[in-house]
Amino acid sequence: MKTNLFSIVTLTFILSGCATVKFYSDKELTKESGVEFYSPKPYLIVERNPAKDVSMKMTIVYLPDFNNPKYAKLSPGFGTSDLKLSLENGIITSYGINSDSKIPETLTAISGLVSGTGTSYKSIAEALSILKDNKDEKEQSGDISSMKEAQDIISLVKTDIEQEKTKTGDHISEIQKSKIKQLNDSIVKIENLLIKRISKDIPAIARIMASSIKLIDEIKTTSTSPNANDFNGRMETRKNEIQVAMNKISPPKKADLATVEVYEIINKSGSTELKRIEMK
Amino acid sequence: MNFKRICVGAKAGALTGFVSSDNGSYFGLSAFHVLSGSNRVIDPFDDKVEVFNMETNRWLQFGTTIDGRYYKGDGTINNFGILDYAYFDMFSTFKDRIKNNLTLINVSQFLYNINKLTLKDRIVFGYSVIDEKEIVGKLSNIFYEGPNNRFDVEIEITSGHTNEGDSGMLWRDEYNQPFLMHIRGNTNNNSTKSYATFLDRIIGHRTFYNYEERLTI
Repeated sequence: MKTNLFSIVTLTFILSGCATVKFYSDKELTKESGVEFYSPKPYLIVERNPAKDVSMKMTIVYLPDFNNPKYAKLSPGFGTSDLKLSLENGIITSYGINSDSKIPETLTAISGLVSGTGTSYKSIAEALSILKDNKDEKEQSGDISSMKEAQDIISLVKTDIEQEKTKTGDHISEIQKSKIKQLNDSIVKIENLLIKRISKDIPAIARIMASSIKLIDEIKTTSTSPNANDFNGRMETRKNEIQVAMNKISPPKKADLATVEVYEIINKSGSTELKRIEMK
Repeated sequence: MNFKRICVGAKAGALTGFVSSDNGSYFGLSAFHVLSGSNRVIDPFDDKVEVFNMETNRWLQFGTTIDGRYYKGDGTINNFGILDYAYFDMFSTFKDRIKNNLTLINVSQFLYNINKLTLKDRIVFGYSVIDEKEIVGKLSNIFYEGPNNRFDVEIEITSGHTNEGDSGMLWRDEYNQPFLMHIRGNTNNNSTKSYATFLDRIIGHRTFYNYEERLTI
């Protein structure tokens, strides 16, 4: 955007008495021009999760329509005395004239665009509805890369847990053996679900992974013998591996990430459309 | 072998069916955004198509994507909505076995309708490879112009769901003939709408084939 051209937030032109200011579009000051300004164009800013406990915030902002510049020119018939023309970011924010002439209707109309903001769209509910439709139109191929990676890890965990089942020792009680078998069954189940690579299974898979991690803590022995320490170490490793696999399939929820979307509000023949502005 | 789910790298979708070219070669068909993989560029050396054998719970190397088209549509009657399709060549180990088990199937007679707008409210039937369930829908809008995209058809789902991973799914008409390709919509996502493309825009004059469940690989 050309915002750099408007780094001065407010520019006020005061033309008084005989003193005049002329504007030129070239540095040789040969091409006299009017004061360039722009109509305000409405945009909807959608902030998702902008703050804690706030899932969505919507704001209407008005930015200059750089594609359609307009020019104001002072002319003798315009007024005879003081003219104040205030621009903010290229948009007229106020004007005033101390003269005996009537203010042209055109300027009133332009000003109305600013003061009348907020009524050019039908409702926030409608805007939300349009946003929802956009979401539905997204491509729906399943993204399964994280499931593939998690499956590789879980397959190794399964091999290790199967070996653990065959090992015996005084440090492992019958209850622990039973729990190792239970863990093995869970890991097999996780692997089978991951192999299918159905992304909507991810929440269920994550739940089984979480319970498997909990189960490993229960399996660990309290004995301090060297075998027991080795066993606990191996179990801790398996636990970490399952956690890594779980992290793979459970990236931060998109809904939890703060995102900002900008939509252009377009009114066409009485209906309102939102056109998403792609951020580049 | 029950093979309806396919994937290319990280992208999973549904196998629409098979088409043959004039010279008798057979190709698998699905959505472009599935068969082109994550980078959305078709590369026969990179886009390895895998198919899921639901009986053995295994993914098999099936073929490679060879061509496709992604085009937004120009809004005209014969070229209205998004085209989002690609096709893949099968590895030789599958080719003959697939070929011998395909059933030629005529596309929907409705595709020959001069005025497709008359197809509104037609009932269509799909099969979600994710839910492994039938889906029923009604053509709620023909030539639907959405906020961001145009679609040949908007479908109101009346039974079942379309899911993430169902892209490419075949919609059949009430006479069980191939009619549309599912390209957008996840009705598990608080929506009842899905979007599809008329099959004649995708396969042109190619012949459409269905595979038989009797196939064993």
